[in-house]
Amino acid sequence: MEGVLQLQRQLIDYTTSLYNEGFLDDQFTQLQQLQDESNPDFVVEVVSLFFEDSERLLNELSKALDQQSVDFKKVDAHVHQLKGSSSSIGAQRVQRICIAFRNYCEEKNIEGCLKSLQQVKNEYSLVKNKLESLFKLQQQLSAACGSIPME
Amino acid sequence: MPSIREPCWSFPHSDLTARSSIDLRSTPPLLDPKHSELHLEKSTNISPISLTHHRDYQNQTAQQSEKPEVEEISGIIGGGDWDFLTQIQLPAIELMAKNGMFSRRKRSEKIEGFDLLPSDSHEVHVLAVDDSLVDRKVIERLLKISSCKVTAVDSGRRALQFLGLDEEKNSVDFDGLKVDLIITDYCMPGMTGYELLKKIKESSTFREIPVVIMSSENCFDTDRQVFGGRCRRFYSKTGEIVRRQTFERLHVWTGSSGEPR
Repeated sequence: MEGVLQLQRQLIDYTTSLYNEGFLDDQFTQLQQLQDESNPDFVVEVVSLFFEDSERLLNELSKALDQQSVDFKKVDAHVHQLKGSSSSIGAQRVQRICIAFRNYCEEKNIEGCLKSLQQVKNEYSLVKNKLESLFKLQQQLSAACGSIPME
Repeated sequence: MPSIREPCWSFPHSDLTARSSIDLRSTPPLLDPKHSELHLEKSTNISPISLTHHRDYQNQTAQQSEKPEVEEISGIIGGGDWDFLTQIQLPAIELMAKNGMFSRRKRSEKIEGFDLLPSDSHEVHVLAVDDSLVDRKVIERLLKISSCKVTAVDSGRRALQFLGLDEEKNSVDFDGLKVDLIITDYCMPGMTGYELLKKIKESSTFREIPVVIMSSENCFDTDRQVFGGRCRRFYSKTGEIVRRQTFERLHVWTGSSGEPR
């Protein structure tokens, strides 16, 4: 029982820190509220889609910005998508960089775009790690709860 | 952390089961007029999502030189793309289904009022259109929670194909594919949500279907000209206050007592 309480505490603290540090915002809470016993993996599934989608977009962005003559409209379209999906899952810091990124696209500022790309890659990587750790904690907690005999 | 399940007021108009007929075209009063961009006239009838016939809307369109080619625009919700859905999913769609608002009538029949169907009437079928995979998944879940059948497609083109509107010929028999509501993203590559809306409203078969456009602030503002006075914008900012307002409105529209889940 003590193990469970500890894990619970850890999970709460970790989650709170993610919100406090701006990695996640309320949108993530809303996602969690859509999860229930009939759909216990909903959040993990949506976040996995986000990871796939983001990785694809980051690749596309790298390619697009690597061209001799950069198609800023195309770059902007990708960033727009990334902004949308990060916003949908509550990945606030990623979303914020996307906003700045789009401004650089509008200005056709290649330096700015390259800088933003680097930043967004970093933020994405951070939030990915954080979310994976979060899910791991959740799994540990369920496993620990699951092993408690019901009275 | 603000809760989205804000407690709701009980709405003075009793719930829909008390009605024997519901006029789609009239609009309900708002609980808090000062927050709204909509100034709906008082009415004893409750309308579902369709919000086309506001006095204010009509006044606004007077300033348009041309008659809007789209006469019935159901509504546009700004803010986070699917923010609004977290509000709508709760009582709104369920109540409408329960009260036979999406009854299985052939579209050719002009519907004066709905007869109440028993509560085991068919599930509401929603066609959701969004180019984002993540958003489609979320929309699907939201709608399923409200006991809707969902068909999610990734573009306006596919939506039209699904409805059988893509080719010039219209399919005659649609009973198998009956769509009760269309929810679409605005900002999509190819065909925007608004363009999709127009196509749907041009079709005699489908123009009665309420269409709701979701828009993220970004896209919407730049295309404000397009929308002009042709539809009502509910709000354009994300944020808790705004969500609460939308929540209020949805309860008003459906006349539910607003018990949050």
